[in-house]
Amino acid sequence: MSHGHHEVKEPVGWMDKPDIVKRLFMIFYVICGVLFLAEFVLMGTENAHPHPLEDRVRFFVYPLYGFISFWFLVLLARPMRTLLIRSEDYYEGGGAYDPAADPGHVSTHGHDGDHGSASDHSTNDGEVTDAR
Amino acid sequence: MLGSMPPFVLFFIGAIVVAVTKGTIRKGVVLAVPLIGLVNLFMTAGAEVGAPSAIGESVERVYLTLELLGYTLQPYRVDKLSLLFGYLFHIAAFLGFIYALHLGDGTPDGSVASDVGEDDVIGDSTATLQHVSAMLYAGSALGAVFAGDFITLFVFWELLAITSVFLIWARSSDKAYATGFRYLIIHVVSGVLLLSGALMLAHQTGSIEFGHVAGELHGDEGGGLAAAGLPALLLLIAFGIKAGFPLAHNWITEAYPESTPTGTVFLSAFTTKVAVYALARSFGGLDELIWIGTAMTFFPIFFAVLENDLRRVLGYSMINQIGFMVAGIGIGTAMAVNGAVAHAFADVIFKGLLFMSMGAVLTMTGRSKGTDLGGLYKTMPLTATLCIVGAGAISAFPMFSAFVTKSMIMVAAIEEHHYIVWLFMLFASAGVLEHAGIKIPFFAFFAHDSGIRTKEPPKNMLVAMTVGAVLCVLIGVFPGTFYTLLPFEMDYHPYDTRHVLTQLQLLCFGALGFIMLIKTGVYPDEKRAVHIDAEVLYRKLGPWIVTTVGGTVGRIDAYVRSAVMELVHSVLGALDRLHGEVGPLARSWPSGSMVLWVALLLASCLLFYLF
Repeated sequence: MSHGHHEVKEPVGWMDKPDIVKRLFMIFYVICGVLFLAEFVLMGTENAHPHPLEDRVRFFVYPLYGFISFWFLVLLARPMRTLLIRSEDYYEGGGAYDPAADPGHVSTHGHDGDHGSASDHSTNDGEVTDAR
Repeated sequence: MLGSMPPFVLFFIGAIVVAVTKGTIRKGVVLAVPLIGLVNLFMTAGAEVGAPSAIGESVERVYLTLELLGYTLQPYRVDKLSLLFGYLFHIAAFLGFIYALHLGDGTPDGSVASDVGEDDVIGDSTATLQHVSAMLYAGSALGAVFAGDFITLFVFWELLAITSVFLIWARSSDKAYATGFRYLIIHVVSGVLLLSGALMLAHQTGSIEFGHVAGELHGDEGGGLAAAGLPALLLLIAFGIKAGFPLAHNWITEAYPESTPTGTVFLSAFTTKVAVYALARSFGGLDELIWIGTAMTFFPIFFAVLENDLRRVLGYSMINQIGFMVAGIGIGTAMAVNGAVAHAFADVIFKGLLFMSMGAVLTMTGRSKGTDLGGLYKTMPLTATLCIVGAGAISAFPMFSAFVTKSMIMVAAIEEHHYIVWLFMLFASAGVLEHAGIKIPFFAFFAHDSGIRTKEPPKNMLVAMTVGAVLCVLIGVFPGTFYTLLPFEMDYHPYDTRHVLTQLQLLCFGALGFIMLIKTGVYPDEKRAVHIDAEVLYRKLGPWIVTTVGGTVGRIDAYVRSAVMELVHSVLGALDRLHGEVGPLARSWPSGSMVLWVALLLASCLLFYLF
């Protein structure tokens, strides 16, 4: 399985460079800031089509709704998982999910700044498959 | 001949030619058929056709009629609604066949699928089967949208199921076979319900015309489902099964991930969209659809957050998007139905693009789960970029297709004062960004580096994805041109300052929420697991009931049998004791005793006579 017999140079992606990632995040935060300021510009404009929320509460409705929606979605999905999660072979005769037997359990946390930093989470015992 | 030829005929002839050809000729045929079909359709469109009768004035052309048992069949009827779906299915077939062009050429260069024992996943050994069934499948979808009566619709409805199941079986795994059988059963049941409803409708109204059902039964388009009665309910369930209504939705999330990388692209384009078309034609303005559609936009996004298989995530995303369409059809105004069918059009392209990008990943890596992927942007940068375009389109960023289609449905909801529905849709729009806009590209191409080193997929796959991406942008940038294809007259302008800015605010602050969820560790990890859904009813509970009830019946049967056998044995034993060789009733008695008994009998008679 492993292809250690032909050494290859590990490709370095732009997301392996923390500076670039940090800069991308900064650009995104600036965009969010601009969109926040745009709210003040929007206050003086009219809709081409009716928007009921804005008729009642006109300030910062959409940004807040988008932000809260993501949190609501995830905060409700987490207890749902507790209730619904089963082993991968559940429909083939398996049973409850056993975290200890999940070699591919992947944490998504803390990736800000270390995206793609080597294959520390490799799902195949550190296997590096290379066809080139 | 072109211009009046039913589109399905061309595809069915094409399937025969594909079956008997190989190599370059076959590649030429699979690309030529949808293109010739498109020319045929443009020539058809040269004749004036209008909107279906449900809302606008009916201007339709019937190119072919047949008589059957006193009913008039219309295998080729054209109006603006069917024409839109006709164009769409030709484009989808063309893109699908470009994407699948490499099949039969062997494992693509650079694919590491065999390293994880998944080289069969590509489906290269089943190239002929896939091309033929895809051609027949596309033809069946076209047959269904141009059907002018329910009997013709039923025939193509069943053909859709029968031809497409081979795209699942082409993966040649035990799981795919089992999934294919379940898929087939569900869709055949849908067809049986359709036929039952159509026959009951014909009995009540004397017509089998594929038109507005509630209107046919009730005399107008109002009155709701209860007033329309059982035939309408049967037809609605039949359409609903194919459209992925709640509780009937799991065939989508089961079948799409189990098909081959190329097969899923075809599967995602036709079946559900034929159902959306059928709902738009027969149930426009049905109030129940508003809430069914809203539920469809809402619940799948929670599953999509948790799901590990990225093609299954796209399956849930498909249900979510169809929910917008169903709700739009339920609202029933010209803008709402236009929005629904326009969104169906856009969805086929952007969802096709997303399925193509995940199919490319599967082809090149043999993996499609979030836990197994990541970091692929290093070796598949073009695929990653095209996937991001698809993600932008489905998330409804300005300048992309969904921005100009989905918003029509939402504005129509507001205009008809369905404010709660609108709030749910707005929430679902944020949810789309989470699972399809961010999760799909993030876990496949970025996130942690899985260590997989592969190459870009074959050129034909990249070309198909590029064409899809260009269409996503073209529809978004030039909505006016696209709107002229829509069936009903309307006045809608997607690009006003407020709409653009508020949409950007919704999406960008949603994305900000995602970043915070990741940074704070609240976002759930990817896990190698499944999350039970309604499918548990027929995959676990149903078999359990059958096994349990069957076991109980078996035990009762065994008990009753043994009790009866015991009784029979005891009766036979008693009889044996009486009548057996040594039994008192079968024993040999001496003749002297008989004389004694006769003498006693005679003596008794004599005594009676004397006294």
